[in-house]
Amino acid sequence: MGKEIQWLSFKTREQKQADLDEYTRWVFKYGQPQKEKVEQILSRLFPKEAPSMAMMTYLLGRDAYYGRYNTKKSSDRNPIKDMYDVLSKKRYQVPKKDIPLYMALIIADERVSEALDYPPDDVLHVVAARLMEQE
Amino acid sequence: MAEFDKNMDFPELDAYFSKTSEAADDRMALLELLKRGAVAYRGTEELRKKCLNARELLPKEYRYLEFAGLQKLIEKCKIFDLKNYSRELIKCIIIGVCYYTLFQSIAASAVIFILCLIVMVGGGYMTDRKNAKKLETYYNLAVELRGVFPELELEEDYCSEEKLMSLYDIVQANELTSLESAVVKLKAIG
Repeated sequence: MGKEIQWLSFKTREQKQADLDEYTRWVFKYGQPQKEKVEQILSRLFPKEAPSMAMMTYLLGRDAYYGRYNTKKSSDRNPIKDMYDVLSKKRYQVPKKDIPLYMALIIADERVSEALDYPPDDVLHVVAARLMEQE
Repeated sequence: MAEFDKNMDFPELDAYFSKTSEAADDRMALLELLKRGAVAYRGTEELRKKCLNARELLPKEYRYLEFAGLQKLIEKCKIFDLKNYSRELIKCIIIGVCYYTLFQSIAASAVIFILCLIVMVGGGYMTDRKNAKKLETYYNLAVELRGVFPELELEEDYCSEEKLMSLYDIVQANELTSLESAVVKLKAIG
C-alpha cells in the first residue's frame, strides 16, 4: 500500500463504503461475532482504555503485522518487529506496558478458527511476557 | 531498539491451539456420528416403543440395570441356586425353630420347615423364572434396537431420530466433545 495524497484522490461514498467493508471482512473474517469477541477481549485486557482507542490500536498493530504499512519484500519482513515498531511510535501514545499484550492478541488472532477459540487472558499474558523479554 | 526473532516460537499458544483443534476434531466426529445415527434410527420408533414397554414390565429393581450385565442376570434368574435364596432359607429355619420351641415336636417342625421352604424358596424361584422371561424379551428388543446403530452404544431412551437430533443440537450449541455430557445436558433440559 503506497503513500497517497488523500485530498487528491477522489472516491465516491459507495467506493469508500466498499473499501471499508472489504477491510472489515479482512480483519474479521468470521464476521460480527468475531468483532464482538475481540471487543470483549480488549475490554478485559485494557479496562482503563476507551474501547474505540483499544480497537484502533489493535487494528494498527494488526495492519503492521500483516505488512500493510511495509514496502519491504515479504521474505525480508519480520512481522513481529514491524508490529512493535508501529505500536511503539510516540504519536500513537500506546502505553509501553500494553504493547506486548496487543501484540500477543494479534499473534493469537492469526491462529483462531471459526469457533473463535481465542486463548484465555492468562495465555495472552504469558505470550506478552515472552515478547517483553525480547524487547 | 527492540530485537525480535523473526521465527519466534510461542509454545503456550501452540499448546492451547493444538488442544482446541483436537477438541474441534472430536466434536466434528461426534456430530457426524450423531447425524448418521439419526438417519439410521429413522423409522425405528415402533421398535423403541416395544422395547421401552418391555422395560416398563420389569420389576423396578431390574429396570435401570447396566445393559452389559443383563445377560448374566438372565442366566442367574434361570438357574436354581440355593445360595441366591439364603434369606428365605434363614426365615424357614427361624420359623421351624420357633415352632419346635412352642410345640416341642420335631416331626411337625420339620413339616412346617419343609412347607415354608416350598412356599418361600419355590415361590422366589418361580418369580425369578418369570422375571427372566421378561428380562429376556426386553434384552432381545434392546439388542435389536441398539444394533440399528451400534457405534453409539446409547440407552434405549435415546435411540430415536428426534432424540439424536436433540443431542446433535446440544453438542453443537455447547461445543461438547463427549456424548455422555450431551446426554447429561439433555436430561437436565428434560
